[in-house]
Amino acid sequence: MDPKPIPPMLRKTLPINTPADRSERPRRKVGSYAYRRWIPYLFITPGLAVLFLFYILPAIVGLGVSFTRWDALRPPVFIGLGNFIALFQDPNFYHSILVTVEYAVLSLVTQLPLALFLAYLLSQQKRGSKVFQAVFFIPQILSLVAVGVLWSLLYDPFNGPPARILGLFGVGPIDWLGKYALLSLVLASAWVYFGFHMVLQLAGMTAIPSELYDSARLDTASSLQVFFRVTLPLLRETLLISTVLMVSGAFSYSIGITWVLTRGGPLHATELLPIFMYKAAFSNHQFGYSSAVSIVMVIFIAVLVGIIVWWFGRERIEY
Amino acid sequence: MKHASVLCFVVFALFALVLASCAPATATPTTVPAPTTAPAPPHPPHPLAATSASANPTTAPANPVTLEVWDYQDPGPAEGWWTQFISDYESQHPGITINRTGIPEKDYDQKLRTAIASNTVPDIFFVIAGSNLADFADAKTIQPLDNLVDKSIWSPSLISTFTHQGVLYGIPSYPYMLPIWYNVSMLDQYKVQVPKTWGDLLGACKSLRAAGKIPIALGLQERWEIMIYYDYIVEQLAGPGMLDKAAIGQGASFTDKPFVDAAARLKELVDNKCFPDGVGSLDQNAMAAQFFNGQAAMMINGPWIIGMAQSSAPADFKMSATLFPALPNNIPGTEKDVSGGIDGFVISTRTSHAKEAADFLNAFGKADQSYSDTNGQLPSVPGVTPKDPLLAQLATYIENANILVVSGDRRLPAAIVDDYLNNLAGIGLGQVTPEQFGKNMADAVNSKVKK
Repeated sequence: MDPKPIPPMLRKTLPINTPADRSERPRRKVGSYAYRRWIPYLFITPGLAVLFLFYILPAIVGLGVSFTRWDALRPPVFIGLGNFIALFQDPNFYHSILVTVEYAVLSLVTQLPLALFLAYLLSQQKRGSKVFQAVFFIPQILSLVAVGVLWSLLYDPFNGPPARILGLFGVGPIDWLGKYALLSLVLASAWVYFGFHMVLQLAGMTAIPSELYDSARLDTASSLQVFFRVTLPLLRETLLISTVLMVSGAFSYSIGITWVLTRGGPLHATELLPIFMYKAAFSNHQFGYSSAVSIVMVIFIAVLVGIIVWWFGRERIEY
Repeated sequence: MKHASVLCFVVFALFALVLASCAPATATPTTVPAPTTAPAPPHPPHPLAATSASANPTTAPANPVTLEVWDYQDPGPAEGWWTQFISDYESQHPGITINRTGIPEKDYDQKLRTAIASNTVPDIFFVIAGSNLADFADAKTIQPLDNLVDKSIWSPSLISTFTHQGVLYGIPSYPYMLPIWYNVSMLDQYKVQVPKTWGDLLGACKSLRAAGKIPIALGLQERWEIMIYYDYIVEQLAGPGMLDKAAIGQGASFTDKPFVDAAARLKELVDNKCFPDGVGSLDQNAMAAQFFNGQAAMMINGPWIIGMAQSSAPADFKMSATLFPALPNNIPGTEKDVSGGIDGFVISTRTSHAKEAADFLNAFGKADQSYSDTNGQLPSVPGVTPKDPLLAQLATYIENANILVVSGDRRLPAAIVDDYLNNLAGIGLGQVTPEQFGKNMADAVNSKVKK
């Protein structure tokens, strides 16, 4: 099949490697054939080395450790699938999966609408938009420990600002991190991460051609109709990225703020899967068992992400 | 073929990097240049370090020796004390260099186990007496000290907590006990007597609640705070050593009456509103703040709060300590036992400088009075009375106790510590009954320890 002809204007301005272009440019020898073949690999070697050392190698070692009983004091003992069998018989493991899924769903339903709403407002706002973007993004760049301490102070049932305000209306101490631990955790996480998702959605919105909005307005569509019929469907890809990040985040980076705020408690109420894994390794010193959790967790994330990608890609929307 | 050779090169380069990174750290002594002359002390020697050094004149080793020492990072006066002590020790022991690394307590175990697994373990390191010490001893990562250190330096009752199966593995450096602290003015103001019996304690809860005060400050964020109550209660109802037996399922079970009764007593405190509302959202800082700012009348905590009170409490704040009250029908004498813990130093089996390490620990033991005075800690050596009257009071409690009961989270097998803390926190939140506590713990022992 012939390649599509390139308009003359573009051929003048862009260095596109068409056969015609190559023949027009002077050939320049930059070294031997072997040198030119090897040099790209040499350039990517440092990146590959980092990837291998800090991601692939630990994953391989982790897989190996998952077949052992190991407390990091004595040499590991090979026990085959023993850890995996124990894991699937552990009711706390299933409880952790449930809590993690709850956390992921709650994060989605709090962060995504908020991020979309604010992104939509900022896309309509011409003045001060950058300032608000920066302000909303700030929690994302703060240390999670600092964020955890900040929210711990806010959740203090006696001396926290919300408690003092509610106290004025006669509301007694509320056990935010006790009875409502998971909801409180989701709220704190939403505060940290919604800015990032807002920026993603805002980028998606600015990429939508303005002609589509113009034609919608010519058809007398209301703002709501424009949002739901034009903006939202065309944000499918950025929504997919946000959803995948939030769901996979529930299984990975959620550990930071959760550990600082609740340590998985009270009574496993916020024991997300990464907390369950961390405790198995560093509280119970069962590194083999913990590695087995991580292997299962990776498979679980892969399946979930696969389902999400499939769901978002069911139908293709084109205008 | 060409692709294959390129891939081979890339793989080779990666493996070379991996091998380079996996190479074990070489022993530091080889990298330290031999001093030609003994370095002159940079400042006047530390009084106690000088005493210890002159008491044990050490000949310079043939080759320079570097001892890696790991312990908890103690922000505050301890850091300055260590710098001075090490400097003085090095000046008294030419050829020996001490590299001390202070690590935050919460990261310590993780870093230590990683170091052990990667064969980069320090020569001397900090461990907790109890199951932690036993773990290290059983795994042969620490060496017996019976013939290495001068045992007479330390209090016999304290150094004995560092024995495992009759062998000494460590030296104590940081003993502490957890009494009931009370706000003297508040108890006076509300005519509440210092609780000596269980009935007194419940009565105090009732009176203080009626006065709109929190009887006992407590936070469940870290969970150890509520564990201390159970540790005390079970010691009195089940007897010394019984918790250890239940924890391994040999000779006792958590479903036995004394253990369930102890949980029921803890629930009694919860039901009588001895603890604050919203207890699940409070951590130890919030708990201490409630005590210092006059919201709460009592609190169980360690001797470190003496220093906190000096910096955080109002100038007219006055506190004192008392023993945990005696329970009805307890095992006689157990009401004198105190709950607490001891941390201390051990020597790695992988060190090639065990003698030098032991000498350093001896010197450290001889400087204990200065160390404990500087840091506001209880002494580990006999015949020393702390300068602080409150610390002196705690030292008397320890002296009069039959036993210093190491707290449950440091005594139980690591595999069930989380269950222990979680279930006790569950009682504190009213989500676990005493019977459920017994059953859950017995199940945890069966599935995680006995197995």
